[in-house]
Amino acid sequence: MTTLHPTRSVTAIALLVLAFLQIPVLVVILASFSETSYLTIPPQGVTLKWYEAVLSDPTYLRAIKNSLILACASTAISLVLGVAAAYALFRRVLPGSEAITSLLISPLVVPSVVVGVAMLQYFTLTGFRGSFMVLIIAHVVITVPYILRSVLASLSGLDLSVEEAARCLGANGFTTFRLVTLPLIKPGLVAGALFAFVTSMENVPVTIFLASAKQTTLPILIFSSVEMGVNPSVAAISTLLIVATALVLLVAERWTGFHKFA
Amino acid sequence: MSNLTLRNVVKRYGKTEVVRGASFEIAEGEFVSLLGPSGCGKTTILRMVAGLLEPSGGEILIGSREVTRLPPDKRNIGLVFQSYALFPHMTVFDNVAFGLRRRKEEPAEITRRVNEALEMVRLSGYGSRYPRELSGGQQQRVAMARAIAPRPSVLLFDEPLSNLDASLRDEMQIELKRLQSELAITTLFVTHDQAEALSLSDRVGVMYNGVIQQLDAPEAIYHRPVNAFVASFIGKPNRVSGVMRGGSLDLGGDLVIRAEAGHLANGTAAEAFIRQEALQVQSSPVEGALRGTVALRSFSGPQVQLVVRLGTGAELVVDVPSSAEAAALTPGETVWLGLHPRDVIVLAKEV
Repeated sequence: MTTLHPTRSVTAIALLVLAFLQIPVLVVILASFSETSYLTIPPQGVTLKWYEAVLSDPTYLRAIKNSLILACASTAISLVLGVAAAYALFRRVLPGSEAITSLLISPLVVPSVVVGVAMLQYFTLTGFRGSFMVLIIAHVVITVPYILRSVLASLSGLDLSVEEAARCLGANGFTTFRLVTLPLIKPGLVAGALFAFVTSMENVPVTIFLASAKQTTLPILIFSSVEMGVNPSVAAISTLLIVATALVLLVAERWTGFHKFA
Repeated sequence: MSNLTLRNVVKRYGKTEVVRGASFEIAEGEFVSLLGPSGCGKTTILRMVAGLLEPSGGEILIGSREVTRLPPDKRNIGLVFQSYALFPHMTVFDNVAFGLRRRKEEPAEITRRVNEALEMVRLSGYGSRYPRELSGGQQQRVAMARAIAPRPSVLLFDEPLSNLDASLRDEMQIELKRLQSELAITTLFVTHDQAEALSLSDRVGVMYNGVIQQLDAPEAIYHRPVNAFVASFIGKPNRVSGVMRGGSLDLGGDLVIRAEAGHLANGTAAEAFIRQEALQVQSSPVEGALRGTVALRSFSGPQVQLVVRLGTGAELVVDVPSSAEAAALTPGETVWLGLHPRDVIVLAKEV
């Protein structure tokens, strides 16, 4: 069959592109096992000492803790706000839904550095700069768009009469949302939450303007460690991040099949 | 179970009145249809009864309870949607049990009544399936089971059969009629399909332009329409205009349609509505028949449709069984159309 040849070449190209994109990840993972005190490929010998170094370094541990708290808090707040906003925008509770949607999604379009500078000025002016709450608020602003977008996408596939049916069968507004609407938008919700979480976990440009030394997050720490001279502990912490992200994605996909809404 | 009463119910959007003062009562266990073209306000009435839309005026009573401003969940109604609106993430059993669970019934009672409802719609054994695994007809039957399981006071149908294909629709019509008469639930049925409305209902309300034009038994709607809209909307009757003379309609050119409309004064401008099946075609002159020429003939299997042009230029459509002698007529031939005065509906022309 002649049609097999183009298919094969397409497959080959796809594999090449994939490899090109994934090689840096592989490099980081391999480098993290090197016994040398500098990054090198292929790794010289195999050791877990860099993992040990990272996981026993209080600076790293505090940064991981900061990042996790920040990501969890901002994702949770974004979920509540994002779902509520998406639902109201979808039901057209207010006039000008399109304009409001664009406005809420704009942090995705505006360069992050600009958002960072703007927030710095704003929080300095209002005198709230330095508080951890400021970081959370900033991260909510940059993560809400992901949740809004994916929840709006799954709402658009929702038949409104399904909610009406629930109301007619005796469910009040909240019960209807809990038993009917929420389960139906769950895939979009999970996808949005994952993106929000990952976005918060890896954000540098906004965080760097707002975080004090004590509030340093993991990506900022990695960023500054690289500046001061690279050793494989950076590769080790990066590898841990990669593995954690992959695991979360895998579990979420199994749970909801969310990829349809990403 | 209880009766449903609407008193002067109005729905306005800005300055547009979509429903203009609907007043009617559906007796306990009665099946009433609202029939009309799209945009006539029939679905708006249904949604106001369900509590999904708030009326701009008037009141709605279920039994003796005023429900005009109550949300849907406080009305004890069952609604079957055109789109079925099943919960896609729940099994058939959970769909049907939804209303019962909201009423906090005992689990054993819920199981019993869900199975009972599924049996009624002939879907026993489908409880563990998901809606997506069912055909359209089966989904609509689940929707019916879901609506009847909590034993609503009033059952509402919003064009429930229009998403089904023709053969399935006929089958579901019978099913629906059987179900409704078994349960004897007060029912309001909204449709644009007149055959559906006429065959299912105890009474039919024909709606146009936000107004219920006539609410009557199907036979009365068909044979004794109160106005030109109802007369021309139901069936596809021939419509000719003329002037009243001695209870008959003078079309001019020596053509007179004999009718029993003595109540209309001589000289009144009027219209006659003549059902296609009420005309008898003859190829020889008959006393009192209308003379005309066959202009078109089309064969559709059981019937042959003839278009007959009268001397005045007016055209009448006649249905003839294809086995009848008249079915062999061809365009150009002269025919005489006989009809019984009783079968002629004459209405004064509306200004």
